[in-house]
Amino acid sequence: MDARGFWRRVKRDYGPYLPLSPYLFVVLFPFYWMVITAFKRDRDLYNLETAPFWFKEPPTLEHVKLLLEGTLFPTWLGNSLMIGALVVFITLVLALPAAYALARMRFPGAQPLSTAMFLSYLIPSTLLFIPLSQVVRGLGFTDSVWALVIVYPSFTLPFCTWLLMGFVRTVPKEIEESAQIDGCTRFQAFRMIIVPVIVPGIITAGIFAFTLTYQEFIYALTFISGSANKTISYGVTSDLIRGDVFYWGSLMAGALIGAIPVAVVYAFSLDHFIHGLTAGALK
Amino acid sequence: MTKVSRRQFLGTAAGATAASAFPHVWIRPAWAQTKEVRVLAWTHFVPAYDKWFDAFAEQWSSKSGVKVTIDHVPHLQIPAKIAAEIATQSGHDIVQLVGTGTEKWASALVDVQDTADKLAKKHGGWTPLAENYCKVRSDGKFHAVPDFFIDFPGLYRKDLWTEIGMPNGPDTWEDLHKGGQKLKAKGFPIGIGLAHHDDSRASWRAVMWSHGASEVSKDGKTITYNTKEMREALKFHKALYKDAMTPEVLAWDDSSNNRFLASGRGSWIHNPISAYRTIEGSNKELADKIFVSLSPKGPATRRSFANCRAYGVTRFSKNQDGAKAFLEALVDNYRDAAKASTGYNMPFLTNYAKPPFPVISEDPKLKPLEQDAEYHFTTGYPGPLTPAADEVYQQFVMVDAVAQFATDKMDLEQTVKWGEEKIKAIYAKF
Amino acid sequence: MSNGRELIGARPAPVAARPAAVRGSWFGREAVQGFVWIAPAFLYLAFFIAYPFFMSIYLSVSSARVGSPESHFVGVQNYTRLFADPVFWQTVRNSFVFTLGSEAIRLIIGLPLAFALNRSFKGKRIVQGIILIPFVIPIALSSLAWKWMFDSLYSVVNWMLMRAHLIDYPWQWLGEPGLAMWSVIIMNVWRGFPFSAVILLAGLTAVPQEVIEAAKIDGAGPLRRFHYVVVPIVRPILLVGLLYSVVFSFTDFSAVWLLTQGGPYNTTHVFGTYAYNIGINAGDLGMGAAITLFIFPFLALIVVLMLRFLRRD
Repeated sequence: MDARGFWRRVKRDYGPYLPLSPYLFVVLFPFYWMVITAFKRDRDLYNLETAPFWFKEPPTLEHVKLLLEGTLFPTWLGNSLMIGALVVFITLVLALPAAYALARMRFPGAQPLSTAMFLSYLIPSTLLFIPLSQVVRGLGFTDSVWALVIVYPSFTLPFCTWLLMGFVRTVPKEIEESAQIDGCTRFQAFRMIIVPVIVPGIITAGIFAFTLTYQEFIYALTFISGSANKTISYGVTSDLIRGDVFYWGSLMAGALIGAIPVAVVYAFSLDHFIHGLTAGALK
Repeated sequence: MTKVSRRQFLGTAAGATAASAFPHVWIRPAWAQTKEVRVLAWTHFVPAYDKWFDAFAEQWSSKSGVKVTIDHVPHLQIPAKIAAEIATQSGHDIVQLVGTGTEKWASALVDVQDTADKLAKKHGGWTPLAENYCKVRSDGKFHAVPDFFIDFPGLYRKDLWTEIGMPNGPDTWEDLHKGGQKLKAKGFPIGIGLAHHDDSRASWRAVMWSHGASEVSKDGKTITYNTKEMREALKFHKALYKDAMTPEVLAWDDSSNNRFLASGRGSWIHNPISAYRTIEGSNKELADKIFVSLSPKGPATRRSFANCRAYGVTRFSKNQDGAKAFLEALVDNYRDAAKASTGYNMPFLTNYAKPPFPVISEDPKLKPLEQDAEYHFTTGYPGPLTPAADEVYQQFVMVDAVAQFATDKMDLEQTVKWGEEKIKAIYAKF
Repeated sequence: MSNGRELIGARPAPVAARPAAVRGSWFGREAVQGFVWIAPAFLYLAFFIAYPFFMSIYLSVSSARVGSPESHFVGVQNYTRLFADPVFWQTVRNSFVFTLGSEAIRLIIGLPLAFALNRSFKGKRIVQGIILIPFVIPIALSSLAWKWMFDSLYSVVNWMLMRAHLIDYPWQWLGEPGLAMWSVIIMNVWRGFPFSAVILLAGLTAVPQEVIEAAKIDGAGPLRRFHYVVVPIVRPILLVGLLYSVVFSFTDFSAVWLLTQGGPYNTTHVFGTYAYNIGINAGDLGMGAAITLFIFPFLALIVVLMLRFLRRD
């Protein structure tokens, strides 16, 4: 009885690990190998004879040191996180009212505008970056993180608005109407009813926006020159590839350190994220 | 109605606060603008050079009162930066031309003939290569100040080549072919890239010109891809690939041949000495076995490819005089720069284009490089470096052609036809 | 005023008729209000997307080159040149293969993962975090990591495969023409499948257990249950996720660029990389713009097809 109960509990608590293991392997193996590379001495790394999965010579912190002290990596990380946070804020501030208006209000041109909003998401950054650089320069932002802060919402805004529109539509109209009868203004109804209800949606949109911003490469390449203004993506690829030498150890260390904080955030907000997607898609 | 104006009010208040919080974005003191020179340069393949360069800039800044800042960018990213800066008419005062000719950016770069003349007078004149690279044909003036070029000799493992009877490495391409074949059988192939990166397009041109072939003729306009010599060159390169190399070269980038040599497996690569310097730093015993030979000779002649570097002053620079002064000082100190580059930078000034060379002439291993200035040419040879030739170079047309031929994707006639059509299409644009 | 929080779980109910007085007080201003509410967003987009977009269209019909100020209108010349360029058509093919191939594989391997994550088990939160790692590493950095893993000399993938006797010579993951496309797809799948799994998971959690039970009681087998019950509910969620994913792949630049730069001989060029090489490296801005503009109709086509398929009720 005890043995059967024990196995049943094991199956319940750990069962999924069986189908999960190939995935964990596929994800963890590059990750593990990146960790090893980050701490392997160069002689050990560029050696065709040794096994790549363990150390032949003792591990070293020199790659991490080069990354943290020899480059402006901490600054880049800080830049990326700050830009991400600001862009998320700007995106939400612009997208929420627009999503509400497009989803709820009737005014001429609402439908075509909503389609235009959606279509603008399809316009890729590789198309826009040259003319966009003229816009940015016209506004006076050259070679600074602020150039990125004002430009990044261009690819987060369309998608987030579209996403939030779906969420707004899930709120039953009756609640708003009863608020209206109670004497609320549109804005008050928006602020006190809609927004709290669609918080999962806001979190979802925020996460999407942050991910897109954090990953971005080509605008950073175009608008930034000074090392102190670089973002993670651009900084690591530009300063750790010196001419014909790739500093693989430091590159891998950079990739890892760059990923971990974001992964932690995702791990904790995944439930909201999923909830948000579920609720928002059911119109 | 109240709520609308409240929102608007809040919005404008926030905006005003934001704008006033970051004045440094909007206001730059007038004096700061004119007393500064910003340079866009590549990250040199020999890190010691950049150290020297940055220090030189600092010294010059304090002496002249003009602040020089250098932004180092990987060479592959420079074209994007320059494009964006020209589009916005703002950015660096000095931009480095990395392998691409001056002609295509002539209208964005200021005429620097005066600086060029001063330097020419002091140092015996410019080599024909320098003039080809920096002189713009439309007005016959220099629109960039030549700095140095990068040569492509052969780097070989003396121990391995001695075993097969060529202690000084291969002198001709055919020697390379035969020797490489023997060494590949022993497990030490040679390596020349056949992919989308600088080394590949440089090496191909060396092979091509050594066989007396070229894609364009001396007038810079007639396409000569469909010739007997070109077919010879193509056939040779295919044989070289099949007999002496492994397929890995199809996936190479600019750092791959360095690593190939450093791994101990490579017996010969076509590369400037940066590869040797890197190995010197990490594996002394291997470095001791590596020697330098001239780029191989072909049935027609000996030619190799010069990857050039020059500096242009942008038209939108607010401190053109300061920029020109800095460039003059920089190139004036060519000998120091060449020394700092441990022999990597090759001369454009006539007085320095003959021995003794800094570093190179002092090291018996590197002595062969003394001859490099004589047989190195650049894109478009035997014609001038036109924007059309440059575009063929940028689009890897000829590398793709020979790669497809070498891997049997196309036969000889198809390859020639493919290459010729593509090159003609590009030249038709100009 | 209630704040509606208690209604989070509610499904949208049928719209009741509104009292006429209420309709008047909000309605009358909607025409103006609407514009005020969307104004910030659309002003931003007009400035940062519409204007550059039209500039690009203008570039594509001009002879603009980097660094030359005299550019003039050339009509469709750039486009006709593109149509005659075999590399362009290869790029089109590659872009479709890359995007659709990656997406299909991601969904196929994402589904079992979603099922597994749908159960609760010990350590689930950690596993969720780990599974998401490929997705959160900036793509420029994960591309570099894979480039190193596929290295022509030091590939750890080859090392493993050779030790396992699955291959007998080192494969050139980034150098052999067909294989290079697979490599790029593998990398794209690796970094995208966590997201696909999350989307599918969201879809699975959206299906209420009672509905499944009801279907079971009605005698529906697993396949019919899947088709008539699960799929309609999951569709809209899939739409959101797939859209994001497909657009990301189709407009991608850094992944392919950092891995292969479009090689070997153009077999992995996608729109983004080919346009960059022609527009920036070669300096032909007009043609570069023309190439990227092609993304738009092809992508719109894919999206319309997806919408049609996924909205079919």
